[in-house]
Amino acid sequence: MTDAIPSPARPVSGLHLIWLVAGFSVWASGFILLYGLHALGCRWGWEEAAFLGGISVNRAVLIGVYLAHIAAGAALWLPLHAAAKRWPGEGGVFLKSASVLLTVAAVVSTIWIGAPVLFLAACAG
Amino acid sequence: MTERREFTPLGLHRALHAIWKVPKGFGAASAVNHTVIGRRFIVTAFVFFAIGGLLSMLIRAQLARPENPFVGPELYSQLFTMHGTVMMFLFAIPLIEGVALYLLPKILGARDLAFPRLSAFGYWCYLFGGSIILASMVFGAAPDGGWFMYTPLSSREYTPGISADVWLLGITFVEISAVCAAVEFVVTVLKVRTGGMALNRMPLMGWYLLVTAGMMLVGFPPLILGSILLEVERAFGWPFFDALRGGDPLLWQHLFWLFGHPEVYIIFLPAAGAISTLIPVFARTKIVGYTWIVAAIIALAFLSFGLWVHHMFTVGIPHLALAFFSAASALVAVPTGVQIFAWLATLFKGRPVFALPMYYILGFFSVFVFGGLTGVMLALVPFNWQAHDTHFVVAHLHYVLIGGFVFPMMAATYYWLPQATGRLPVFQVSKAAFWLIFIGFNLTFLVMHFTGLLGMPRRVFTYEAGLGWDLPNLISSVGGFMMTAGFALFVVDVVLQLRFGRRFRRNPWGATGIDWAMPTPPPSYVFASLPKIESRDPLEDNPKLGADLAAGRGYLGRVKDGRMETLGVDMVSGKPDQIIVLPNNDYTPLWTAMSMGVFFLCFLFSAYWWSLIGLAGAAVFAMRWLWSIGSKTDPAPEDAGLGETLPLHHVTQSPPTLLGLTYTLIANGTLYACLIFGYLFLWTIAPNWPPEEMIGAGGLALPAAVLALLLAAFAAARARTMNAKGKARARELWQIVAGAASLAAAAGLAAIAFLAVPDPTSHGYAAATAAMLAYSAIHALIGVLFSGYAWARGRKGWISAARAVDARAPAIWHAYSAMTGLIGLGLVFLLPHGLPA
Ligand code: HEM
Ligand SMILES: [Cu+2]
Repeated sequence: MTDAIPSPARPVSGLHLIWLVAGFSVWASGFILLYGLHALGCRWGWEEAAFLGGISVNRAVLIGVYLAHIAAGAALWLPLHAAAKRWPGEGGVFLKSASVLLTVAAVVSTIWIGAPVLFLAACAG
Repeated sequence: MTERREFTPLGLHRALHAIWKVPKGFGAASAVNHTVIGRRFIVTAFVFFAIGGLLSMLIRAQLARPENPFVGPELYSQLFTMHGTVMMFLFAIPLIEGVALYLLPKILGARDLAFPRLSAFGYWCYLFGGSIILASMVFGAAPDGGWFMYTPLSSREYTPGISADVWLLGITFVEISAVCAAVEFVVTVLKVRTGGMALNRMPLMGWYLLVTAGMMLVGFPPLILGSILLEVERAFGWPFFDALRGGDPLLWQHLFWLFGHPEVYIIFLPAAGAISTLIPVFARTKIVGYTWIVAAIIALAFLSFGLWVHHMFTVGIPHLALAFFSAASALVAVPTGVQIFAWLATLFKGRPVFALPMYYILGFFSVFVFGGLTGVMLALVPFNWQAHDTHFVVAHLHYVLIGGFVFPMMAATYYWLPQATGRLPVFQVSKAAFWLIFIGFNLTFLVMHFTGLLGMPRRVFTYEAGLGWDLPNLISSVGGFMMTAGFALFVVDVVLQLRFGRRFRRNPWGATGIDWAMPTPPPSYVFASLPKIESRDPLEDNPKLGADLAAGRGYLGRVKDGRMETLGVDMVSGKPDQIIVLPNNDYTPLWTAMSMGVFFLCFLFSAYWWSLIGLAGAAVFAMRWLWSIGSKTDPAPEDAGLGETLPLHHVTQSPPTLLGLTYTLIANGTLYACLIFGYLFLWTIAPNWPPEEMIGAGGLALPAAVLALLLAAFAAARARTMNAKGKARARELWQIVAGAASLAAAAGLAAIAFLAVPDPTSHGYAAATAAMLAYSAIHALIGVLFSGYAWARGRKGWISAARAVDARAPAIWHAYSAMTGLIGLGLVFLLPHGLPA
């Protein structure tokens, strides 16, 4: 009798499925914040307020959010790696590869979608 | 411990069928069996498909020549609105639900879904909601604002009468059924599988339906919220969308497309699941890239929520925001591409046989890829500005919907029909039908791209001669009729197969999944005993699996105390962890849905007070429904076969009901998040702000509401803890406290709404504020029901330290109400006094 995951003392908890969606949850947070803060910033005149070196407050905030989410997405690697060590067997391999794929894909998506904050005019319509 | 009678296969069949069978005649209205309900969903959906198709024929007849006097502008508006609405809400989504209902237990190795009565309830909601919408057409009051019902066109001022209300209420009724289905599907896929079916051994279709259901949980609430708000605006004059009074029509567009774009993928994913299932079977090989496909569809699910604004590129949103959505729209092609490459690789790896379903799959490939390309074109902002609202868009959306959804579903129909009927096709009608559909489709819609590029707008009832649109329109109309002839032939084909098809022994396609390891047509209980899964291809491991299962050589190959049983498993490893006892045929779902129908109908005809009777009825029936499950003693673990001894679900840590509540709250939380979005959106974007009057201080009502919310959550948690410690009296006392506190919270919130909030009809601000408070008050009131119910259950002996569901559920609910209530109060009070407008 072979089990998918040779049942250790405690089976892998359903909570570990969170790793399948963790990366893209960070992505979603970035997306919502970029979209929302951008709208608020334009509305509240952050575009006219100057920040360091001629960048507007608006753009500084957006770039900050952008970089923070890339960093957060990349940082998921550490806890994911630690958690995956406790996933045994054929099922564990699957869960790990899927989680890694999704986490990497999420970081790439964050980089791609947020990139316009680096160069496009913020509030022109 | 357990007496096990040995059965012969026939004896086992008889014994199981005796408890699982669905009554004949009127009694069939009490059916909850997934095979029956699934079939009803599918057949009803195809009836709506025929109706939608008929409407499209009227459209094409009208557009066939210029200045056609056949229908006028009013009727034409009704035609395209009803066509779009019927196809999207009454055909596509319900067809998916039906297919999932029918298939899920059969591919997961279960005897039914987690909540069979919820399936039945969902079906009745769909049938009643759909009938209301259809009836409106017969009475000449059909909605005519387009399938996305933009305000202000759909507001009271420009659409008087009840036609828009028909849409809003009818669709909401149907959406309720979709959300119920989604909850049920998620719980089922995660929890109600057979032993050994680890997630990595689950058929891909299981993954597709899991992800689809997850998307429905977050995708439908925005539309439900939007419909409620618009209906409240129409009925009571709360100006959420009225720009003159501080509302904003764009809010409707956001809410609609926040639903509308994911909806496209909700439709596409199950169809893609069918393709992922069929291709390996007909290529006589295994799917390439299982893990990649799973990752791709999860990524797709998320990305598809970042696209909605591409339907609003022309409304004047700043460039930078457009860039986010344009980038996301391009990106979403990647996971779709991953799947397409996995399919092609599988085809190349194997030795494809060109059986009939493969025709539709090849049709899918050619059409869908083309539709994807025109989609990428439309995602480019400058092109979009040119093609917006022309027939180019109509052509694109039909390439995606018919190519990406209808074709794969036709393939799936031909593939699984023998499973459902036990018969194989005998006549050569099928191929003729395919070619008529395929050629007719391309004639209609390929040509329509050019009509659009030549500038013909969509949704116009006629056009002048000599603009170069005459010939392409004529071709499109001829093609449309050809396609319809094809679909008619398809129906003939199916009927012939049902009637005269050749009977077969098991597994005609040589498939390897357990959906073919059962007699065909499937018996009421589906599996006489449940298989133990050791790989992704159980029928390949053991070609005689079907016979083994019929002989009872699997899990639960028995009949005990007349119970309907299936297994519950650990989510990840698929190790069995409980025996789930399922409910039998029951009329309560029907009564509950009928009460909801009373509510919607009364609301439709402005009998607002009467409509409350419907709601109260629904609450009473729902409680009766819940009451009938459970156990009054702590059952002992039982022998489940194959060496497993398992507890019954009543006494486990994670029974399906609690999971169901959790996922319901996720959908509910999404709705609330959208409400907050609406509030903030009006605050920052809407014209005619700030309002003249902001919320008052609220006096004592504010601290009272806050304290009551917190107390209710605390008391319900105490009740749960006391129950776990076996202290029944303390549990009941705390439960009473929780109920009373919840009532007080509702009263406090209502007091704030009536005393401190300006007249909700005066301004969008007041309306949004009142809506936030109403949300929390309603939740507090439902909390009273939760606690009252739990208290009564405890009194009657349905709760114990081990049978804890009824003590745990109120704790979850009150915690949710307190959390959302406090967030709401925070926003409602702090924003007016803390932030610039
Ligand atoms: C049977 C073949 C079909 C034909 C000939 C057809 C034809 C048409 C035409 C000509 C229009 C444009 C009307 C106008 O803008 O003036 C239209 C709109 C539409 N169709 Fe179809 N259609 C078919 C099937 C479908 C299917 C299967 C779906 C969805 C699953 C669908 C969904 C829609 C939607 C959402 C609209 C937009 C309605 C609106 O503008 O409010 N159609 N169809
Ligand atoms: Cu879209």
